[in-house]
Amino acid sequence: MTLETMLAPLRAKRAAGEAIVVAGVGSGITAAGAKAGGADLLATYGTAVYRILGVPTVLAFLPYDDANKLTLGLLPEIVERAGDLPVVGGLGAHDPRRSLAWLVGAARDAGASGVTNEPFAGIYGPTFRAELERSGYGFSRELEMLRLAAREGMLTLGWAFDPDEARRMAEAGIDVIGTMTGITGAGNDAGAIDEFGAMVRAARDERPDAIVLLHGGPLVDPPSVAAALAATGADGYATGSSAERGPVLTGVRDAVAAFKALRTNAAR
Amino acid sequence: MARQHTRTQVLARLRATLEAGRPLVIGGAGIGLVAKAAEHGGIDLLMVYNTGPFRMAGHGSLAGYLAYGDSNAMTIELGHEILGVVEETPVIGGIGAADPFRDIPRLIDQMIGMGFSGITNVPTTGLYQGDFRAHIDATNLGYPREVDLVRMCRERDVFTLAYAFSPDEARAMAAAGADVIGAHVGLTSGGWIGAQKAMDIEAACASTQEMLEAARSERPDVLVVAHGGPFEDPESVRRVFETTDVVGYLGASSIERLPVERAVSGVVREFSALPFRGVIPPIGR
Repeated sequence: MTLETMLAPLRAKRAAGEAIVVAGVGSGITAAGAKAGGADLLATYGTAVYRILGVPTVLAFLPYDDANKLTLGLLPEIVERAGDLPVVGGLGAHDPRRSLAWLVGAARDAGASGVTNEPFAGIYGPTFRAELERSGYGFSRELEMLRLAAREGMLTLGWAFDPDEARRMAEAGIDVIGTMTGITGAGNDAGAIDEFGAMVRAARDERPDAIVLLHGGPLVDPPSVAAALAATGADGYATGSSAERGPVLTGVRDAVAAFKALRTNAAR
Repeated sequence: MARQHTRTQVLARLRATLEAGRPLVIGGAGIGLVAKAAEHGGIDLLMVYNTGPFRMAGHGSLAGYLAYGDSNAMTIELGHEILGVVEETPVIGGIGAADPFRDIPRLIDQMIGMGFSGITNVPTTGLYQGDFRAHIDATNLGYPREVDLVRMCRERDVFTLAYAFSPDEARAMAAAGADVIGAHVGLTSGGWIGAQKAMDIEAACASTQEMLEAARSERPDVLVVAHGGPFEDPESVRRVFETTDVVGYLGASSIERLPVERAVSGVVREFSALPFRGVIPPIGR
């Protein structure tokens, strides 16, 4: 699929005022569900795998797994379920033992149509992130990886944690810019909306036609996302736990509870 | 194969060093050669954990705190290598207590079963800060689980060295029964890929002393050693020995990364500087 073929539907949605939805998925069945729900793009990455395992996603940023191996292992299964829907693979650019070119090539070979910078250094907070940047393994390397993927004709989804990162993503010509305020369900609403707004403005000031999405913090359901889209002027939302962990848990719980409510003849 | 020591034996060795008027020197080893050389230098305790292989592959220790490998599996693999080349020195292994896939008591048994003489809390969630740290702690797999790790080791009479980053953590680790506390003042500076923004040495000494006093107020017999930040070479460590009550120094980058960087580049420079009488051969066809 050419980059233009992937981007044209997103631009059309934006022009029509429809929210663009990128669905983060960690299994074939949730990929199939997201596709059936009309997702515009699928994304797969290490934290989505942890969601499916029932493990808190924040633990996917700790040294108990190889995030790149998780993504590369899962990609073929997601791509197979996705059919003609493009799939974006999350790659960790700070992996000291793999070159960026190898990582991007491996994601492409595994069927990814695009690349995103997850895991991201921004999640670790300012001090740790600054230390990573100084050692050459921070945000700049994430940007370098996305540029490399863009040169290969792949779609790029770039995550930013502050206005400066959003501006740099826009400046680098990243196709879709995701703005993020931290782990879903955390943080104060008003503060997070201001942070989102500042990132959206920073990206648009740099490139007025940038496609900008929101994710994380207080955005947990359609009403909270609707309010944030209205307040910030963003083009859409990237789902994570909100369209995977929650729906799986409640769906399975309700199904089991409904069967448990049945009575046998012995009760009569 | 490294001799396995009981907790009592490790403590007796450490106290013998102190009684002989020498400070404790404890170091991490990410490759067998470093472990051998450190033992020859008379190191009191060797530590094996996942940041070692990253360091000795030319990367920063911080790589061991990102999600590019299973730290506990790396420590076990490296443990076989290091235990195989060490003779008398006690070797302890790191356990990452936030591991969502392993049962900690079984992991302790496995590591003692393979020949380690004790346990340390590496990788530690103490290295993370702010919101991220709060999210980790909210999963119940954060620093308090590392305190539990130390308590479980003590219940099994397994020697522990616990890294602490604040007086409260030092006190909690002392209460849990840690034998040695490594008062951690941040990533080690210096060299080509060391931390660039270490705490200044006065502040680092003050912070070390505060952790020491907190730990000793809980348990007067606990041994406290200095680690990290600006304490990167014998000169800077001399300062912390002079201005605080620590009884030793714990180095990882300073014991293996910095010496290898200096020694290898130095000897290559020396070879390159030699005069030679050979002539440049003609270019072949």
